[in-house]
Amino acid sequence: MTALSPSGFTVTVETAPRGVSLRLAGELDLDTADDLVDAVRGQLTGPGRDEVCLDCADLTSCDSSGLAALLMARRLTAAAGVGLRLADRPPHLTRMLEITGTLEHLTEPYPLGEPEAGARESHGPHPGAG
Amino acid sequence: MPDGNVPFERRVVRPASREPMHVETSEYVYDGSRTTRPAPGTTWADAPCPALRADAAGAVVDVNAAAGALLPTARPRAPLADAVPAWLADAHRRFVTATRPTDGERRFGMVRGELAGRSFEARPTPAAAGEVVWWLVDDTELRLAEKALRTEQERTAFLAEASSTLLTSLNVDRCMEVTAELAARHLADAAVVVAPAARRHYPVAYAGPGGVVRRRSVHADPAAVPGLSEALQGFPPVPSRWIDPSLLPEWAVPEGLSQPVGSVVVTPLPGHGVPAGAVVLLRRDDHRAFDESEEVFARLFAARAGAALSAARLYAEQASITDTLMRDLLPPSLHQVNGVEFAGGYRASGAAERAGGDFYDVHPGEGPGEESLVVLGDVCGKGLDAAVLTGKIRNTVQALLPMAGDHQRVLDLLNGALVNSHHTRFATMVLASVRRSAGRVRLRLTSAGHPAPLIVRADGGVEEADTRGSLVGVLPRVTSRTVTADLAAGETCLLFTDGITEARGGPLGDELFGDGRLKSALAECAGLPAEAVVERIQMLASEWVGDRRHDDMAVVAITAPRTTHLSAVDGHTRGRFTA
Repeated sequence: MTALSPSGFTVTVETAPRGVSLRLAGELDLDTADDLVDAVRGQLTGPGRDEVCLDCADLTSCDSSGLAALLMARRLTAAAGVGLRLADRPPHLTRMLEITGTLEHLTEPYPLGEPEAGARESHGPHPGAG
Repeated sequence: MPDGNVPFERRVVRPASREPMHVETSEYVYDGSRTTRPAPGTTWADAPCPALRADAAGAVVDVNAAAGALLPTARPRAPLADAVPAWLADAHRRFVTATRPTDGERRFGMVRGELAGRSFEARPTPAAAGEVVWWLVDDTELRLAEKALRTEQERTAFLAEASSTLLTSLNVDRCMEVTAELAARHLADAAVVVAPAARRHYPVAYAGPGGVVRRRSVHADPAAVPGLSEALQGFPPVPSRWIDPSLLPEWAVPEGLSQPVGSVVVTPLPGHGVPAGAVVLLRRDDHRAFDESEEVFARLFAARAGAALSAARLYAEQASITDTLMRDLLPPSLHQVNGVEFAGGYRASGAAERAGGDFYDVHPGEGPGEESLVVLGDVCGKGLDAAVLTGKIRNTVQALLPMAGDHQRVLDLLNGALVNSHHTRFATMVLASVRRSAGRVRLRLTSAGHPAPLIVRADGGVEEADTRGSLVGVLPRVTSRTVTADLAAGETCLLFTDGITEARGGPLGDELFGDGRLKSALAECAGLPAEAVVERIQMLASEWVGDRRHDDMAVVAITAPRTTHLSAVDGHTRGRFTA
């Protein structure tokens, strides 16, 4: 599934070993931030859903509204007991997360203090996921 | 040929059904009952068009059957003056004496006039012995159609004009004036536009016959004009209403009407969900009253005027809300406080809907030895949402000034006040506490998720303050690291928002201004007063973006004055100066 927005930001949903991977491409900004939040909100439940991975390799830019969307994604996944991972971050994104002091918060491996975190870690790759 | 036995006879071709008749080969087609009479075209007596033959002396020679029915007194030898209307008799006289054009112009001598209550076109054709045959063509329906078409064309043109004139202004008063003026010019002798009440006063625009428009605020009961209260409520929609002119209160009649009012219609101006007002159309008693088609037309006009008025009203309301909110957001003008120079610059984003994210404030210390607190920040998002959050942050920081000695504490409390379960809108900011001490300016700097301040030394070296911290408004806890720095005379600490470093432009149009360019620009500002540093950085960034779209850009310069008053305690003694 690929959601196209007029400004060229796309979210492509793919199954991944520990749940789902959302491949983000294009500009994450004021006009497209809601697309990301909506996409994440739609992927919080499902069989074997341990983690939502945001694949950022093709993210060309991210502004403050984009960062707010990432923070909202983190809040939503934590509330649903699902992990969030920002994979393949381009340097501009890492730099922005460092300056704003959000890198640690957004890349913590799993919501701290969740008792079942370890248990879920022990699950193997989901059958049939690719 | 369908039948070779009757080669010369003209046949009637009459289909069995009532489908239209059609011509086959060269045969004539005409009414079947007359097949035995002379061929048509050889006589004019039975022509359906009235025809009259008159001689050169002006007497009737002959009329055909149709003309006989139309002109009962037109008998042979009767003088034309007795037989036909004067316009036709005159035309005949002119025609027989006139010189015909050599090119045989077909419309030569043609006249038009009324006959038996209908409109006729009379076309002359010369006959033998100076006689003239007048063919009378009834064009009443055509004339009516032409008139209706012309009226429609005028109305369409007027509606188009009304729309374009009304939509050129988002100013409510102007819209009311234009509505009244157009209505008075095209629909009535005078018009009164009444807007919904503002604090119990009704704004009213009057337009009289001379096109003069006046505006007044009327304190009156709209119920005094029948139908006006209903029209002003806007919902449910009410039809236009005829009212008795004698019921009109004095305020509802424009000045300058030379005759008493004869007819009045109240038409609502339908808005977009909000009542836009009503228009009262007035005609003098010596002018025709409104007919039904005019009333329909007035409604079409009212729909356009109402749409324009309500758009103007909504815009005015929004502009007033934004003004109220933005008024407090304007950056303060800065100056020297307790021996330290401050200067600030703010360039709002070009696009109105993207404005409002950056802010700065300077809270002066109470005395020369006290710290002043400078706050510069950037709120995520744009427009009204950002403006509201900015206002909240600025007010909260002001309330937290007593804690300004501990930046981490200020940020903790501010974060607690801002965290909200509905959204993740955040702010990044720099806090700078500034105090003059022993000829230098001492700074405590804390970044909360914001680009670190830059310091330009007297020798042109540029350093980045080593402060880091997390943004405020989203995370459960804020972390930060405060650093101290000293400025010698002529040195400047620059606080800026990423609108500067991320300004896109340059020779290729899509390059970031970037940290590198900002640092080299700043290196050239060593020794400059704060004001000049701000101006230079703003100018370079503005040149970089040109007229492209950009975000808000804010900068604050904190400078240790180059020539400064070391004993500036009372401000009267000249004291000593350092170079």
